[in-house]
Amino acid sequence: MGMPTCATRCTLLLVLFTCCLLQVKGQLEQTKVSVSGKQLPLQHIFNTIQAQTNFYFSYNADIDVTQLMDVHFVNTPLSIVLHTILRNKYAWTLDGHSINLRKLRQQLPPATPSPPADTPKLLIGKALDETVVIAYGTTTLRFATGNLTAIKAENIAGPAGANILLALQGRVPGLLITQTGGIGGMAMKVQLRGQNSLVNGTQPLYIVDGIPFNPVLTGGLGSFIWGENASAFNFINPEDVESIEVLKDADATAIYGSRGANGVILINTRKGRIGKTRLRLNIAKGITHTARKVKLLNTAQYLEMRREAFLNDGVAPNERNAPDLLQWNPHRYTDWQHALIGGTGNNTSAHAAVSGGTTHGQYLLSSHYRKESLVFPGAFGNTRGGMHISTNTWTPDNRFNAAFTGSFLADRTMLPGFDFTSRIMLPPNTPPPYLEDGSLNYAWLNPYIALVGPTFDAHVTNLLANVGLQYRLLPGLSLKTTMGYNWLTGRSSILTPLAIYPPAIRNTRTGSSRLAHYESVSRIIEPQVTYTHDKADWYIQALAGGTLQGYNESRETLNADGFKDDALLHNIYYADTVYGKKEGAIYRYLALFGRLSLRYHNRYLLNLSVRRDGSSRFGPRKQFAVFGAVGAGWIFTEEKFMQPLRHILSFGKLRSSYGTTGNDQIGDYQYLGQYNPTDGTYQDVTGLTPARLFNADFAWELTRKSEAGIELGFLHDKLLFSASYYVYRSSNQLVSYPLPDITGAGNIIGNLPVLIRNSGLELALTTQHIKRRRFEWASSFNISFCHNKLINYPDPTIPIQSSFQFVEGQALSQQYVADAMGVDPLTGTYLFADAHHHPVPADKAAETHPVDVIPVCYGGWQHDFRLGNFGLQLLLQFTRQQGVNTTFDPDYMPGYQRNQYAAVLSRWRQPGDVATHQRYTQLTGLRDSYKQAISSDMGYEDASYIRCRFIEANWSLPAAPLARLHLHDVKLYLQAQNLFTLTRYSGLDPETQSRTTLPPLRGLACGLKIAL
Amino acid sequence: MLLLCGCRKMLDVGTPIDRTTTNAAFDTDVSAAAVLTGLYFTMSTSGAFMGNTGMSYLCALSADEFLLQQEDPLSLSLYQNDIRTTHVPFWRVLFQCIYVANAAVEGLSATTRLTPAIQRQLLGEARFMRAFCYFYLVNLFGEVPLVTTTDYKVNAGMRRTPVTRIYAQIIADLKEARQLLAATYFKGDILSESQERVRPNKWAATTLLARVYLYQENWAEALEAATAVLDNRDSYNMVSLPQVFLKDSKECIWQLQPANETFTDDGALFIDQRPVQISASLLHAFAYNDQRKRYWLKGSTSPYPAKYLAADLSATAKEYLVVLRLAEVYLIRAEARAHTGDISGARADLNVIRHRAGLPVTDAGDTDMLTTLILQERRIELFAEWGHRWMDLKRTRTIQQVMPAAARAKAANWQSYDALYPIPVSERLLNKNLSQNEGYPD
Repeated sequence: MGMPTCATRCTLLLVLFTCCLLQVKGQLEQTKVSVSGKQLPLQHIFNTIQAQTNFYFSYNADIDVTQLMDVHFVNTPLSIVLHTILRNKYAWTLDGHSINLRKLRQQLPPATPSPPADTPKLLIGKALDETVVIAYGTTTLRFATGNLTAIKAENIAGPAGANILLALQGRVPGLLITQTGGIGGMAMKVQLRGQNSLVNGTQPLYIVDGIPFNPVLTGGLGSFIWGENASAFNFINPEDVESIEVLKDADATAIYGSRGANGVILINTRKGRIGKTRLRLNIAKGITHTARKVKLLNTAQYLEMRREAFLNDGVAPNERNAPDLLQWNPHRYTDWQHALIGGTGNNTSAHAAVSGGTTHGQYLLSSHYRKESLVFPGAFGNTRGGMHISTNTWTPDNRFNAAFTGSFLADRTMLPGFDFTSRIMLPPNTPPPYLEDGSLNYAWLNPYIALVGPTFDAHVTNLLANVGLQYRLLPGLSLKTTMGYNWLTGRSSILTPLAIYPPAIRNTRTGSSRLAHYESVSRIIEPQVTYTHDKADWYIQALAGGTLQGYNESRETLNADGFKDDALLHNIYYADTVYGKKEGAIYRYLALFGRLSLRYHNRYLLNLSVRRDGSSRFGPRKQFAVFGAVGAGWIFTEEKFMQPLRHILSFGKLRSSYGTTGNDQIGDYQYLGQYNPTDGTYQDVTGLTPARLFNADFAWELTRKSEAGIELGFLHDKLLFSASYYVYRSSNQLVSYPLPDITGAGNIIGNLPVLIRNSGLELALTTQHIKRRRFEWASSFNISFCHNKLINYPDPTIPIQSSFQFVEGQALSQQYVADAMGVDPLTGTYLFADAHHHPVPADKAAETHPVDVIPVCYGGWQHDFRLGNFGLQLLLQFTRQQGVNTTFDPDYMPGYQRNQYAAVLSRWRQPGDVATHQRYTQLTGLRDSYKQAISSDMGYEDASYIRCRFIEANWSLPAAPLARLHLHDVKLYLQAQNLFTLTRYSGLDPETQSRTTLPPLRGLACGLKIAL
Repeated sequence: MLLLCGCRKMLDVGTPIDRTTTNAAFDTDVSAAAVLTGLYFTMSTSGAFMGNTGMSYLCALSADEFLLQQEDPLSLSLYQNDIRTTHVPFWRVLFQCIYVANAAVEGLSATTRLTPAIQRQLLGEARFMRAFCYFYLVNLFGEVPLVTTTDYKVNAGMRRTPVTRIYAQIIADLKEARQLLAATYFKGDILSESQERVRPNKWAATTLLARVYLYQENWAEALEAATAVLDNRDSYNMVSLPQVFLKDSKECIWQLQPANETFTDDGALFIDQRPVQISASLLHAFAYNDQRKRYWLKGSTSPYPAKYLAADLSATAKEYLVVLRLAEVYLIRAEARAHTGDISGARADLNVIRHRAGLPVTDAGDTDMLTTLILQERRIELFAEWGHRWMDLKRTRTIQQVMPAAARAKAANWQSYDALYPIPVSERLLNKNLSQNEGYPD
């Protein structure tokens, strides 16, 4: 009879539990098993027992089978083994040959408050001891020295919709995600803790299952709507994601070296788990529609504006400059907002997953399908499907483990040639889009012509595969290699048929097509060695490893012109001329890294990380660099003197970190000297002309991150509070700075010792207000304040090419605009303040009024309720910011042949009028003062908003009918995205701040989840 | 360390597929030739060599050739001999061309992958182009930094180099180019011969060399070089006045192909935009029966330059921009002969020009008389071309006598320092080692 050599050391923090061992049947006494080893995961012990006996284990996902323990049993009765390894934490019952485990309800200061099995579980309830993924390993929030935020699967799929980044909106302190529009695939602006680079990339590093993932589908396959920076996250299925971890400070990101300056976002897909085979189904159906409208002029107001404009200008309307006044029906009214973006989009999604596993191996198989249509007229939309596979296998001796994860997604997107939102300002009295015989009306610039062309049709496929091999060499010492591969490729066609031309002139025109092909391949191999020592008061973990990473991207476009027949448009064989272009880049990266984590008495934490890396993006003299960080923590509530307060302050940690990281989002090949083709020929030859000088010292931008934080848990961790303050100092900025002409080149891209400071405060509070048997209420609130400042700009004579004027001592995003001083009562033009604050016309205006459109603060507030079998989830997102006032159409002044926001009605009409808008005009004379008004404080307004990002109400079938139906779980839910937005913003949407792109849509859906 | 060496190799990503890197540019005959072709394309589009920002126009404004009738700020500043240091023409483009030439000299000297004949030809073109640009820099600005490498770190802080050293470099480049370049004209592939004379050849280098020796008053060498060019009677001949500026004219030693392949910017400028007319002093310098007045001037009451007649794509005859032509070589040899005592030879050369212009042959019998006549002839023959007048005034050290009166005529204020253009202020902001020419605001 053996005795356990060591108690469950990894669970030291789980303070007292009651022992609740149930009656054991006699056969357990007779069955003998042998299992021994140090730091064995619980799962391995289960494996071994199953291999030696005819019993097997069944349990739910809340059982932590990765828990490590030292055991030594030789021919020990199974009952004793079970007692020893499960004591204090799990209860078990015997059901035939199945040993059914369930987690014990915690009675005293809990770590992971979890409701009894098979009752609905609240999503919030920040678990200090839940496993969270970090760089090359896992940790718990309790012992983390770095700043990290974890989002779990339950919170991802619903709010994400089709793009996983949306699941992070409002949830992560310090992370600002801005949608640029409401159509799937449009670019996402993601900024973690401010703008750390003067002009270069500030995207975080994304790692999907260990594979660096390019967040941008460069070029957007040529789609005007997707744009140059289409979001590649559109091609990852959010329902396949298990967790997202956002790593921010130096301690968490320095191990990513020259890629970590802008933070790191780890995305981990779902894995199989030990347990009975389960089939999970999720079917949902929903609609989307535009949530907000702007008030525009109606036909009478519009025609009045036009007539007044001609009158003001002293110009007589004629058929060329005023068809709307003279030719079009003055009584027609079309609400273009309603016609073009007022439709209803439908979406249907289905997801099925089978998972389970024995202790020898676990698996997960899932597939999904989603179809959605746009709110635009026409049959545009998106259909996608895919599958996800994960397997995990252990050898019987538990020394070798092989894991595989693979995802495949195929997407087809059909979009119009332009965003119909850009046409909502058409005059309200335009002729009808269709003639009486139902054919298109070509007599005017009819937006419905876009339904026939140009049309965008893209097929994108995304393959992610990851293999992890692990071998336990000695107790505590493991060798591990992960290999990852991502293949994202797309083909698109943009067809411009003859049908876009009026029939009468079609014989003089030809059709054209534009084909695009995009392909990116990312691959990575990371061998690692870990050593874990867990003895007495010390817990030590050492990690060393290397990275070999490559990324290839290529983009090809083929233009074909001269098609005589629309039916032949798909085959470039029938084109007269075909010409194409291929672009691409290769990126290579390699690194060595190491980390040493020390924990003493479970209260003193120290974490050292270092990385030496090299990147092909840097010049030959600066290819390698060393980055490193130190993080320290002190769990002061573990100290003796704090014990008397334990019932109030159950957890308290102070932590701090400092380190360096680099930004290598500086483009490929930028250090190489380059020649570009001349834009014309000489002797019928296209020449080459030098475009860029070679710079051997071209290097990364450096960010030094320092951070201090406090994390507190009150009342048995029912209330968890965390505050972090950070200061990032970014230097060595890569800019294109001018050289004297005698060098032959106007400028060179090089590192300039510019210093940018980003600092901020992030607060998060997670509370379990009420926790009863029938009713639970938990909430989580986070808010971030950030501040950006250009500390040092070495030489003000060096002009940096950027849309912003950089001023030392001010934020990078700070702009200076004029102070508007109303409309001149005499002339009806805008007036602005000059240097002495006297009203002057536009040409004498002083641009001294500071405007900063970067949010001052932002955050989110999430609530989770459960009443019996009813659940309610709510996420409010808020941002306080200045935004662009879209009342001003930069292309068409009020009076032009274009509709306007109703706000322009308060305009100047005659001398003496005091008005907010200058007089209507249809000439260009007032253009300067109009442009100045856009570039004045009038051009900006408060764009703060509170948005109900996500709300879900659900009902779970009670246990009794479930049992009768032999179902594990049935849940019915209603979801809404962007249900309402509270804002004073006058435009379409305060987040996108655009008058020409579709705002984020309101989505309503109902669905059913079934688990067998 | 060993690991790192291996690492460096692994980080080598080669060259981008959609662009040519500096290293790869001289790896193949085609791309190496394209670099020089790109340089000629730059010359024919950059504006420093033609049109209303070109030398033929702006230098003539500085001198006494034109009466300005339109007043754009740059033209006006040169016309009034009042160049602003913020708006200095030519500097940037000339140094850009020198950078390409330097890069080509470096690349072509280092590479071993090209066909030897092509490599020699291109190296010759590059060295010729470097000399060509420095010739204008040194004549327009005086001392300038002598940049002969592409290392921007060295070049960005360079001081100005004495004029004699710059000339030494120009002569060395031209002598080398004369050796390297073939006597024929090539197409863009540097393989097949071309009818067009749009790439410099051996005789272009020799012509420029002759001009440089003339400017140096090295009469013997100038004589030798000019004679070498003039001996090629098969290739080069004087043609009738209306044909001098046509594409492929036999008189031309080097032309630039305009981007539109039909008409030159100078044609568009002088004929179409017509911002200037000939100054009274230049008009009076024409003899009564000079045929050049008939063919190269237009407008009876207010004559304007009309060497190029094509001003738009409808032109019947195609014109290319003439950079070097035989008439100048005759005049160079005439001047060299006059100074070396070959009076009859000088007279014969001068008479070639006079004869074509329908002027009686001269029988001037001594060096002084001949040189005066030759300079008069240069003024007429080469007016509104490449700043010849402006530079002749300077090399003959007559500028300070001629310009005060000329300045009065164009209501300008002549200062003796105006003979040199200023160094651009933006250059001096970025390169503290660069001094300003005397007289200009520091």
